[in-house]
Amino acid sequence: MIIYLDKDFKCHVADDGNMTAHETEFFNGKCRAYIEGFRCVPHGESFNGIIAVGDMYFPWTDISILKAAQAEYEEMKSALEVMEVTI
Amino acid sequence: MIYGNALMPGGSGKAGATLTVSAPLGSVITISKDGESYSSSLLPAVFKGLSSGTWTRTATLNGQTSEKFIQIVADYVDTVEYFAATINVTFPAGSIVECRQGDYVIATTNTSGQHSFHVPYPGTWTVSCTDGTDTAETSVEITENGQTVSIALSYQLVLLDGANTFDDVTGGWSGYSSLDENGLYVQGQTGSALASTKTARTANTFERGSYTVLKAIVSDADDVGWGNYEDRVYSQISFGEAAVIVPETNDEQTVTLELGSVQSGQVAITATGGYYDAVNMYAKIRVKKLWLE
Repeated sequence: MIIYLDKDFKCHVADDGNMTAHETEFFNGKCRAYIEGFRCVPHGESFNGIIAVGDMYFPWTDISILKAAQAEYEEMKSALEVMEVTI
Repeated sequence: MIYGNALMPGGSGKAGATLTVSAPLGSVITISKDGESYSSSLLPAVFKGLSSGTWTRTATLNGQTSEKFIQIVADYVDTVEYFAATINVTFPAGSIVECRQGDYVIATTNTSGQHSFHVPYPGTWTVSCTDGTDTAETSVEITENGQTVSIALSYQLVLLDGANTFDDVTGGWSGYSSLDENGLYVQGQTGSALASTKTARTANTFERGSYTVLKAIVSDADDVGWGNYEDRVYSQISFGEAAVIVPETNDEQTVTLELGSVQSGQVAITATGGYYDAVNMYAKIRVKKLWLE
C-alpha cells in the first residue's frame, strides 16, 4: 500500500499536497487510526539523531489507543462480513 | 575523653543518654559526633551524657572494622558484630559509581571501570553508576560475612551476543533457524504456495524503562529472490509494535529501531519467504548482537 509521510515522518493515508509517498506492506490490514498513529522513517533518513538503517516504524502516540482502534475496526469488519454472507 | 564504665566528669547528674556497647574481647570502641570523639578499650564500653542526634560508632579488632550510625534519643544498647563482604563491580569507564544501603553511601573517585566495594554489614546494597546522562543500577543481597559478589553495570541491556541468549533476561529465544558463536540465524520458509514467515522471539516481554532504542549488529541479510515479488520477502527486527526493516545486504551493519511510544513487548527477528511466480524466494538474517540502549 501507499502511505504518505509528512515532514515529521508521521504517516497519513491521504496526501495534503505536501507529503512524500512511501510504499509499504507494514500496515496491511490496519485501519486509518492505527496507521496515522505511526511514524515511518525511510531507510537513510535521519530522525531524532538516528539515521534509519532500513525503514523504521514506531508509534508516536499511545500504542494502546491505536490497538483499541484496530480492534474496533476488525470487529466492525467481521460484523460486515457476516451481514454480507447473510444477505 | 570519656572512658567506658566511667561517669561523666561532674557527677551522675549530667543530662543526656547512655550508650552501652558490647563487642568481642580486644575491641576498641570509638564514638563521634560533630567533632566530639570518645574511645574505650574496656568492655562493655559505656558512654554517658550523650547529646541526642546521630553518633558514629566504630569498633576495631585485629584489622577488622565495624561502623554503625546510632540515633541517640534515649539510652541505647549496641552489640558489635564484625562483618565484611565485597562487591566487585565493572561499569562503563569514566562513570561515577557508588554503593548504598539507605543513608549509608560508599563513594569512590575511581572511574576506571572496575572497583571493589567493601560493605560493613549485610542486607540489600544498591550499586549505581552514572555518566551524567545515563544511569544504571542493580541491587545485591549480602548475607554472609566474607561473601564476595561480582556484578556488571551497563547502560545497555544485551539480549543476544553470539551464542549467548541471556536466558536469565530473555527467558530464552525460540523459533530461530540456527544458533552458534556467529549469532542467531533466521531464514524464511519456501516451497509453499503461501508466504511463510519464520520468526525468532524472546520468551519474555520487556518493559522499556529508560531505554529508547533497540540496536542490532546483523549480516547475511540479502534476500534470495528476484522479479515482481522480490519486495514480498524481507527481514525485520521488532520490539512490540515497533519494527525496522533490515536493508538487503550480506555485509555487517548496525540496525537501530526507535521505540517511540511502545512501552513493552517481546523482541522478535522475522524473515519472510514464499513461492511467487513459480520461484522460491526467502529473506534471511544473522543477528550477531542485539541490545536495548
